Formats: sequence, C-alpha cells, structure tokens
Amino acid sequence: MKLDGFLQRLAEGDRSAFKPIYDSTNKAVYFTALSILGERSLAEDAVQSAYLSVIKNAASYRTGTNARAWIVRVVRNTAVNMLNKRKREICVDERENEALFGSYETDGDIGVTELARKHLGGDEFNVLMLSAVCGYKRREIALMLEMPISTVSWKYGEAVRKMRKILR
Amino acid sequence: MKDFKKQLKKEAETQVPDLYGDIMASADSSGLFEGGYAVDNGGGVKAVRRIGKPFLYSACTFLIVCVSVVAIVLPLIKKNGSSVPPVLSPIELSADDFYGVGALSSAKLLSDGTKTFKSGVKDGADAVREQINYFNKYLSAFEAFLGEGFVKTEVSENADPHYAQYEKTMTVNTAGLESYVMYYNETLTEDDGEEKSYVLNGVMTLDGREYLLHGERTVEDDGEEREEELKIRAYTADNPENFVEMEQEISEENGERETEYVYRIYSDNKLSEETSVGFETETKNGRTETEFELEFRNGDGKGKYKVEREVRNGVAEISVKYKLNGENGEFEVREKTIDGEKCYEYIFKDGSSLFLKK
Repeated sequence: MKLDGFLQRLAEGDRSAFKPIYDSTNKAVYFTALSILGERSLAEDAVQSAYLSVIKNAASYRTGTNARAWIVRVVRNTAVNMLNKRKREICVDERENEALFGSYETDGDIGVTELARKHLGGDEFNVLMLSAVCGYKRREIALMLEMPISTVSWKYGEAVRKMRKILR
Repeated sequence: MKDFKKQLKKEAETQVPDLYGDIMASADSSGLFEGGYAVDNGGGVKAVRRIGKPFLYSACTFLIVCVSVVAIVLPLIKKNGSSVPPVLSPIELSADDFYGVGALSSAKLLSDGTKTFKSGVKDGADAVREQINYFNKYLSAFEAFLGEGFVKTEVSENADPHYAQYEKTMTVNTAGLESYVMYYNETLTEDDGEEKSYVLNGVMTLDGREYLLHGERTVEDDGEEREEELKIRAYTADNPENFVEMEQEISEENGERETEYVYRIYSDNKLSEETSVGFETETKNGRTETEFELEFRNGDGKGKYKVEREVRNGVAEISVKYKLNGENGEFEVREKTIDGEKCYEYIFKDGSSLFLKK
C-alpha cells in the first residue's frame, strides 16, 4: 500500500497504519530536523512533535499531493517553530547556547555524518542526507524543502564538493 | 574518501534514533487514537521526552550489526589459458549488463518460488540441511553469472511481432553460455543534467513462463563520480502478490566499482525473505578472481555462506563454508546431470548427500 493509503487509514484512527509511515519516513524526518536544529536531542523532540502532528492532522493531508513531502514539511515547520521559540526564550549567550551558534557537541568519534553536519550549511546538509541516505530524487527533495529543483541540484553539488574537499 | 555517501548511509542505520515507541506512547497518552489529544502551552501536541541517551543505544546496535555482518567471499580462481575466452570483469560491464543481471536473477529467483525457509531451533548441522533448498535457489540463480565470461548483454530493436508493444530486446548471455531475452521499453522520466531517471517495463521468458518486469534506474554523474541505482520487480500476471524485488547499487570512483544486490521476496504482498548478494570480479596476474558475498537476512533463515568455486579440467568444484545458528560447518557441491536434468549434489561432512534440481 502506498503512503497515501496509510495516511488515510491513520486519519480514520487505525493506529497500525502509523508503523509503515514511520518506517518509510523517519530518516528523512530526523535529518531534516537535525539540519535545522543542529542538535540531536532537540531534533528528537522535533521528530516526536512532528509525528504527533502527523497523527493528529492526517485527515488534512490531501491524497495525491506527495505524502512524504507533506510529512517533511510538517517536521520543518515544527523544527523552525522550536528554533524560534528557543531564540525568544533563552538567553543569547553563545557560550551557553551551543546549538544556536553551531558549536556542536563532540563525542570523540566523529563520523562522516558529523563532519557533514559541522561543515555544511543547514540546507546543504539536508539535501545531501535526503539524497544520499534516503535516496530521494531531486524533484522529490524540491517538493519536500519547497525549493526549485535547480536550487536543490546546486546545494547538492556544493555539499558533495565540500565533503570531498574535507575528506581529502 | 571513497564513497562517503555509502558511509553516510551506513552511519544513518545506527544514528537515526528509533522513536516509534515513544511516539506511540505519547499518542496514546494524548488520546490521539481515541479522538482526542492533549495540547501543550504552545498549542502543539505534547511529546514525551525520550529517557536516556539514544546515542548509547545506537552505539550498541551498531556494534551488534558490525559483528553480525561478516563479508562472505567466493574466490573463483581460473587459469587463463589461450583457448579460454577473455574474462569480463564488472568494471568492463555496461549499465545494460547490470540491467540484464538484475532482471534475469530476479526472474530466476521468482521462478524458483517465493516460499521461504523456516528453521526451528536446531544446531548448525541439522539447520543447514533444512536451509539447503534456500541456498540452492540462490546458487542456481547466480551460478549463471559466476563462470567464465561472466555476463554480456546485447541490446537491439525488437523485431518480434509477438511482443510488438516493446521497442527493444536485451539478450543476456550468461557465463553458462545460456541466453535469455528480455523485451522492454525504457523511458527517460527525469533529467536535470547530473541526475537522470528511467522507467523500465518488460517481459522475460524462463522455462516457457513469462515474467513481467518493472524497474527504475537512476544515474547520477557529476563528471568525477558516477552512481547508478536500479530497482526491478519481477512478477507474473496471474499471481502479482508473489514477487521478487531487487535493488542494485553500483558505485564507481577512480576505476573501482562495487556492486551490491539486495533481493526481497514477497509472498502474498508480505516480505518473507531478504538476501544481499555482492560480487566483484577482477583479473590479476592472469588469474580471474570473483568475490561473492551472500547473506541471508530474513528472520529464521539467517545464515552466512562462503563459497569457493574452482574450475578444474572444465569441471566446477564448489566448496562451501557456512555459519548458521552460531555454528560453523562446511559442505561440497558438485554439478551433476541425472535423467537429463541438471542438478547439484550436496555432500556433507558425515558422508551423506542430497540432490537438488538447479
């Protein structure tokens, strides 16, 4: 069954329909949240909130308008709202608020993902992860991130070039 | 540096936290599945904060995955005599050749049926006898590609009026010198310069039965690095609920090429079997070596096989080492013809043997 069908069943209150939705979108949702919030624990909160919104608002999804893109847009909005809320609420001191200023936590073993997150812009990181990890095509990513396809291609190209340079 | 995208993919398997349980708990406690839900001060639905560091959980999972995924290598060693035709390595193969391998192997697996292996709790020696049918299916499907010559495809305009709806034919000549024909259409669906996507629809006949094929291919080439992804579904018109899906990924950088095939077999639309197959052929110092990796990933049928195939005086000798249910063992395989039918004879260490049709 396609994602549209599962969303429809979810809207009708069928809780079993959520598992396939989660399984087929969780990576895209997580990396989108991470690209905006820059911190794992915040990204996890955003992912949870976003999926709860998906469950709550499944009925508002219009069938045939690309369910994956809709879910990714939900998490983007959730993450952006969280980021704005934090900016308003917490004191603006970069030494105390690393997540806002790009000084990410270090855990000793820096993998390629961590390198990408540190050295790429948020959109570049997001496009790279959606393409390389989640396997989405440029057209699909453009829908998810509400960008022209040419912008997606440009950001992807930039991300790949930067990563190659870093890894060399 | 090589293939950092593959590394990103691998890391994602362990770094993306599994929040499904937490989300369902939040949804239930918020009454989302009962027609109501709690809201937080900001108007959104309240999320339950995950307890503990997911990263620790992820690290443990990663360790388990690393330990369990052991590469299984099949060296195919063959002397290069003057009478032997030149051996093709995957690096020489065209995209069409990989198309052919994908389509043919998927159809062959489907032709062997979609029933999957189920093992009870047995020790390795007993379990492997039960798993032999399962192993045999993959050996039969891939054996055609593992001999000399590997595989070569020829694409031409379709002239067969019986399949007039298809524009092209692809003849797949396998190492076993058998030929298979696929009739197909390939349509370019997306082209943004660096990335091109195609849709494939076709049909292939095996043992008098038609197998329908539907595939998608994506080619990404930025001039420095080229990546191809191919997905093919093989099914029959009369039983589309039982099908084989193959996902193939080829990456090429600086002349090195890696190919991995993942086969998922569905029975009644449900995933019943998942197996990864990877092989690589290269010619070194006049000897041709093919690395063959086979990992059965599905629940009860998990197993790892290392197969060594050597051709001596024109006869293939196959020895297999396996790890199953935590136990190691080995057996031999010989190609036989009984009553005109080609089959494999499986010879176990205790002297017992078993014949199975190819």
